[in-house]
Amino acid sequence: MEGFYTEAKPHFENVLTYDGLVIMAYQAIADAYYKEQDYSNALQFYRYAEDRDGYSETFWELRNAVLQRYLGSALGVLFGGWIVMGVFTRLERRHGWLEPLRRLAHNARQIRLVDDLVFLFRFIRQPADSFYYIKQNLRGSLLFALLLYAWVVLVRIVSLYVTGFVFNPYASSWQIYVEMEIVNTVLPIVLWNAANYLVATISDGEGRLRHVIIGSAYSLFPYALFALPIALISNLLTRNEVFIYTFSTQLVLVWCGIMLVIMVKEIHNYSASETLKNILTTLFTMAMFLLTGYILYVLFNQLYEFILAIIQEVSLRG
Amino acid sequence: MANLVNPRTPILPSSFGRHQRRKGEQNLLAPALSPSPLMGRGWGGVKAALRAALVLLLLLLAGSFPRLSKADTPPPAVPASYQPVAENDRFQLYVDSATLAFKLLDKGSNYLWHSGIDELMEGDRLNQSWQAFAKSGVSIEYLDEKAINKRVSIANTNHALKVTPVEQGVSAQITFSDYGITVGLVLQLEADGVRVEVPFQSIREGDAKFRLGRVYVYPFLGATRGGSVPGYMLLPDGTGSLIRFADSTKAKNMFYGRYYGADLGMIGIMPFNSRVVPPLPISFPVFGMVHGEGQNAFLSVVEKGSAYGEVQVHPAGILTNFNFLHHAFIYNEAYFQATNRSGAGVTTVQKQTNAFDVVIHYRFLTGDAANYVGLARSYQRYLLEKGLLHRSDTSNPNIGIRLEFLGGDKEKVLFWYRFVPMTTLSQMHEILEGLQLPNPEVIYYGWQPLGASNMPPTSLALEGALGSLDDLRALADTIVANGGRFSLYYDPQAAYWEEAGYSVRNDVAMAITNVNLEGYNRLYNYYFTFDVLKQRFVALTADVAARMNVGLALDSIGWTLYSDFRQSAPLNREAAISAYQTVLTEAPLPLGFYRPNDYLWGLAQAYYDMPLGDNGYIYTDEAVPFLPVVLAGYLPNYGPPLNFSANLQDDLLRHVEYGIYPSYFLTYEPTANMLNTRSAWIYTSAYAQWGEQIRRSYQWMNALLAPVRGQEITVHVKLAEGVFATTYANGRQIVVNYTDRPFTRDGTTVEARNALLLEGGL
Repeated sequence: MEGFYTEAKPHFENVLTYDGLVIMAYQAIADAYYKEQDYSNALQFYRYAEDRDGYSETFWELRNAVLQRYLGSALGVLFGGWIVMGVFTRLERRHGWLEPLRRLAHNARQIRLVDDLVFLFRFIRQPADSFYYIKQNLRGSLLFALLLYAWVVLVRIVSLYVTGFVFNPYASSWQIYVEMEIVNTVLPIVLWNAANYLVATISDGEGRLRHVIIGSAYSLFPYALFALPIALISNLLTRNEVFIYTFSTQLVLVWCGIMLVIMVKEIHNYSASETLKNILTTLFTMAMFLLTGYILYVLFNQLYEFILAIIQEVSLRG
Repeated sequence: MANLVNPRTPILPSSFGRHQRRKGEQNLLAPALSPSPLMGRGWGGVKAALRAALVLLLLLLAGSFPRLSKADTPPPAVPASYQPVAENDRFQLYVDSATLAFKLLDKGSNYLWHSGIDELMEGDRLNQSWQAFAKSGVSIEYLDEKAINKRVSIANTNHALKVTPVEQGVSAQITFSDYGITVGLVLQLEADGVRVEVPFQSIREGDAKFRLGRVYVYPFLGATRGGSVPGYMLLPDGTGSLIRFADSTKAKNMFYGRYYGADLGMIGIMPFNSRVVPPLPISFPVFGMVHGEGQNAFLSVVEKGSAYGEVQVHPAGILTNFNFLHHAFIYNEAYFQATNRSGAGVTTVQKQTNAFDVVIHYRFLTGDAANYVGLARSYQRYLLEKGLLHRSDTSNPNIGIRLEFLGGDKEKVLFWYRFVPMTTLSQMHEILEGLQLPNPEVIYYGWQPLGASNMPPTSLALEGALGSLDDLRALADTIVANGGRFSLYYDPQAAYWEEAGYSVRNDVAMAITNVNLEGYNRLYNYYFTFDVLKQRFVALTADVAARMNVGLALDSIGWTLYSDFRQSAPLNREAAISAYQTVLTEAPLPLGFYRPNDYLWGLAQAYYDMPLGDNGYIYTDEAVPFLPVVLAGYLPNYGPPLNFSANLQDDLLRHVEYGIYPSYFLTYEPTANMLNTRSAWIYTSAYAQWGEQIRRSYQWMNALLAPVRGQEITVHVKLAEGVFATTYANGRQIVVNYTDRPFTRDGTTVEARNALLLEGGL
């Protein structure tokens, strides 16, 4: 882009003196700062202008400067750390310095919730087996499942706030309507659990409600574990690395989906075709629930209006 | 009436008057002549005519003698149906006891004022109904069972009229027999003109089928035909606005304006459109009419009943060929009661008639006073006599400047709010140090915890991020020590929408349609009932006054007046005026008001957001500084914040022309920081952007306006197109040149788009 950015800057600043709400002026001033290589000011003004591309470009420049400056020493520190760790591990194995900690960890697993938490990590490698444990009431608890759901909701909300400006669907945090986000997260979870259990009971599913709730909770572990780190890392990324962000977020969601499929199959002891049928029926039931809710809402609203109108008319003319 | 003697008859035969009128032609509004008494009287009549001719001849001869000056010319004729009822050293009042119309003779100028049109001339466009309206002293509008309104006058409906003489006037009771409606009227002569009263206790609605809608009094007082008389009507629009008499008008309809704006209690929700600047409501119940500048004029002031009053202005060319304007008073109104949420409902008439007395003063002026400045000065004298205006302190040798600072506002985070600081106390201190203005009028907006859009507390509490109460006290004391004043912004009426701190169920005022009143000023808000308003205001002011020496800058309450139909404590709009006056008078700290209506001028230390003209309606020809002239020398007034000005230089010149002090709205932080708060309506405010402009404009204005501060305006004239001169009581004159070319007269030059202070007049 060629243009008299710097020459235009004072004029746009003058515009802002008369009206500080002209987004275009912020954009133009940000462009000027960018051309002047005053990146920190440019970043601020791109933020005002809600220009994600400009913000991303500027951030790339700023990050580049930091990398240029510290990359060498950072790599040195990493390498040094790696050597120190290696030496430490070897010595530790010989002297057993961390033995008390290990014992403590072992004892902690006697507490149910801690055990439930440790169980979460087992799903990464052995999902099918792990669901079997749940079904046999060997591991996992309802309390932990509920905590996990709460955690998922919390992660959802917090990640909206901490996702970097470049990738955040909301340009500014005041636009986040927290109550709505909570409903949007909790409602599908509740509907899924209810619908899946109901559908399973009439289609030879073996799982009980408790198993469905715990199983579904554990199925969401990829989201529970990775959504927040991804949101935090997004602060360091620019549009150039958009692939990393979108791929990882999609990966987490797909993973959750696969986990749910496995969950249905194992908990209810279905064949592959039965699993597919069950899931489709579950989704249809969820839709029906919503539709019914909406219809009831409309009907009761009408009734309310009707009664209100009668009362008003009577009070006015009576 | 029979006992009222007519002193004119024995002296001269009645035909004398007719001739004299033709000669003198003082009254350009052609005369409604009484039917000649000569007709059908036989010999006696002829003798009388001869005698009359003789006297006339003598008089004509006498008229040619040089010693007879204008003042000695005999008064213009008054038709026989008018009986003299009162006289003082300036006026003589004649009343027609059939229509209650009056004529007022100004003895100084021999000018005869007519309260209506007695007889039509050729070319007059008045139908039967308008004729009756023009002829009658009183007309009413009634509402039938279907809430349909119709206007009837004394002259075109069955009525019973009882007239009794009272001290310096008459008292009348008019019963409109077909509708069972009775209205009383007291017409009295007073020192400056005529006083008209419609006491509420005289009003009767005897037939349940008909309700009294409006009462019109003397609608055609001083009416003129088209452009036959040079002169104008003065409207209370903005600072004052003129409609010059002309045969035609660009306007398509009349100007009807409710004093103090629409009654929210009747409409419920204030119409709001963010793309439209709402018109300024009428802030004083006054209008005027000038028959020839420098010749004759009158001013009409509503003393009581203005809350239900309305000004109705008809320029010639709309419906009729007359220019006339008058007050109308609303006793009952039809309203639409929705009965379900989809909007269906019924139109019905309010259950209870509005209770209020009406008192109107008509003040008549002649000679040099007969122009809009004279009218304003007459109104100023009226206010002083009634104690509604006081001279403020002008000991500071410099003009004031209003600096309003936004403390901050809140932004939503999760379920809570985060405070966005915009100007802390120390930053304000830094700005004031930097500006070094000798007489700042500082207002702090958004000082309460969490800032501007949070509900202000009922005891003094400052947002912690702005500073401590001790800092506040110290800053206020510093400002006062340096010659300025410090006030906290407060809107006593507003219950901010969707905010905590009050109960929507119990605390807010209700409209007649059973909905909560909603409106918009700086924020969207409900309106408190008077009881809650008073309780909160008294609590806050007592606490503030006990802790520190600061004032309050009160928004909304100055210009918003609503009736409240909440059943627990209904409040009539007229009663709200005195309720506000009482609670505000008792406030233990000095008060400034944003655009206060006339009834609060006496309580104000300062007037903020003085309009810089009128609303620019198509009816009007030009804006005039009527309001600034009224207040000049008494109440210091500050214009709207200049950082929001669309045409800065013109607005600065207007400030100087009208004697208005400048205002700026400031924040220390860049404006963009609060883009996501509800204070985003302040679209430019950063000190870094405006500091230099403030210093420059203050210096320029102070040099021009400081020498005339505290002085009354005595003359305001247009010297040429775009050049105006304002003269003050101490003889100094300010000439303002809006044009792009220098203006020169008598060797004195005012540069283009500039102003000049002169010791004497140009």
